[in-house]
Amino acid sequence: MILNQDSDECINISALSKTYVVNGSTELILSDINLSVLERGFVSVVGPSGCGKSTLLNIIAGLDEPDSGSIYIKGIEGPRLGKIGYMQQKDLLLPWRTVLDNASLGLETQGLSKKDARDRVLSEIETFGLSGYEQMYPYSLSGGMRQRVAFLRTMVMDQSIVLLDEPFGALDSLTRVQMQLWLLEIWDLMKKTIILVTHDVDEALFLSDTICLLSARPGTSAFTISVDLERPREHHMLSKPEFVSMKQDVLSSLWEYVD
Amino acid sequence: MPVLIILGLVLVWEVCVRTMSIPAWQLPPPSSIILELILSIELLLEHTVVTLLEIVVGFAISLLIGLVLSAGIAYSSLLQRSIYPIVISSQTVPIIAIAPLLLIWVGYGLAPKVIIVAIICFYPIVVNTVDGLKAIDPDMVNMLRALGATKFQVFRKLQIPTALPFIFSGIKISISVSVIAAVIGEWVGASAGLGYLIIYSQPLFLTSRVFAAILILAVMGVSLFVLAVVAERLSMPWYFNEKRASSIRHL
Repeated sequence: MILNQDSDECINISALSKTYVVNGSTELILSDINLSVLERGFVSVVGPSGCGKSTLLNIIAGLDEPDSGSIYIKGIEGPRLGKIGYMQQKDLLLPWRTVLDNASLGLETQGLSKKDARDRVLSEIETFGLSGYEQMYPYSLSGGMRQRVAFLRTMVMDQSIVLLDEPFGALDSLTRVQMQLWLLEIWDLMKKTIILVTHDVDEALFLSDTICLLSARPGTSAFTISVDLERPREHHMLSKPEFVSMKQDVLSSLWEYVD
Repeated sequence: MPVLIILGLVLVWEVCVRTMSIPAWQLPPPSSIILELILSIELLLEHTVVTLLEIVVGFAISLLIGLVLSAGIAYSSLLQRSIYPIVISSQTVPIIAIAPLLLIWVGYGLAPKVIIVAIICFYPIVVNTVDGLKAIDPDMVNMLRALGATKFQVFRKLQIPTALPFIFSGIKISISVSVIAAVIGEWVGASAGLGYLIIYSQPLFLTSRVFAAILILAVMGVSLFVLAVVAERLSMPWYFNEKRASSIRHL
């Protein structure tokens, strides 16, 4: 699918770099990252492990600041913490909160009363396949269910931008496929702009409009590919020749940059 | 099971005392201790109330100050560096040695015993609570920060619940030693309480009464501990359900 040409640029990252001090020596983690995401776009960031993908998301979310370069969110450069939805690799559910209260957490920190937060969550709980689970505690849920709760916690907030850090990494392949299809539905329904970090090329191709390849450390935006598959995406597309050839492209450039 | 063991030991005790004809002032048989308990119940209860009051008030003060101070220590690195070492080293001072001083300063009433109980309970509560408040998962903190949480919201929604199991460990240790603390306080100088009753009855060779008082102290200690365990279960049902669920999974 070609991106809607009317939609504006939502996120603009240019010449971003980040170093960390590890064991007394400074190490360049990200170098000259450039990324542009359109409103309601779906961008995947793919790269070898250790290329700083999670660091990039931490910086976009505002948990960390870059050493140099700029991040504009809807044309504004400023504090980002709390304004961007961020779902980390682990589900990070609080064990003392029920499904309902875990999902309400973000709304509560935004200042909603407990009751209003719960009502808001309850109105979405069906969409996230969690009805009937409201009063359960995380320990009694499967990995896929826990992930759904984490999704709901992130998505129920009014933030239009959502960062996803390998959200399906811990799931078995069947659940994974189900969740990918479901994520596309949610994305469409809730009108979000998504940046997804993954090292699964199939996943990136299947979900995104654009794939941004990062090279091995220091991570540099090496390569951007737009995925011209029609939407809605369906699973049989994974075996289409254009999908396979695109996958070939991505994999070969990925190999090129791993070394 | 422990009940059976204790019953067995009591039976052996009774039989030994009777067959070996040990004088009652030296070691009374359990039956005469029970008899003493029934006959002097009014006197014993009167002193029990005093000791229980010392424990409850001392423990409550300790818990209150301990929790507030722990929050301060976990929150501010200045307090962590200045106050925390003092709290830890204070434990090395023998409390029994301080007790006579307390008598000089605050008299022979309830106050010195309450203070001794509070001092003894203080350390386990503070050390456990500080550890608990610091036992947070940094990823969880980042998750909350990304949700726009303030430092205070992180404290309330993450640190306190994380610390809760630790706090209860501290409380259970404290409550176990609080009975000893109260008795020590009464030995040093008192006019009421079960510890006082023991010290008072011993030179009169009212050995059955000494044993009756010890029995009540033991029951008191166990009951307070059970109370703490019940409170723990009620305030963190998720914690025990989770432990049970994971132990089933590991079977």
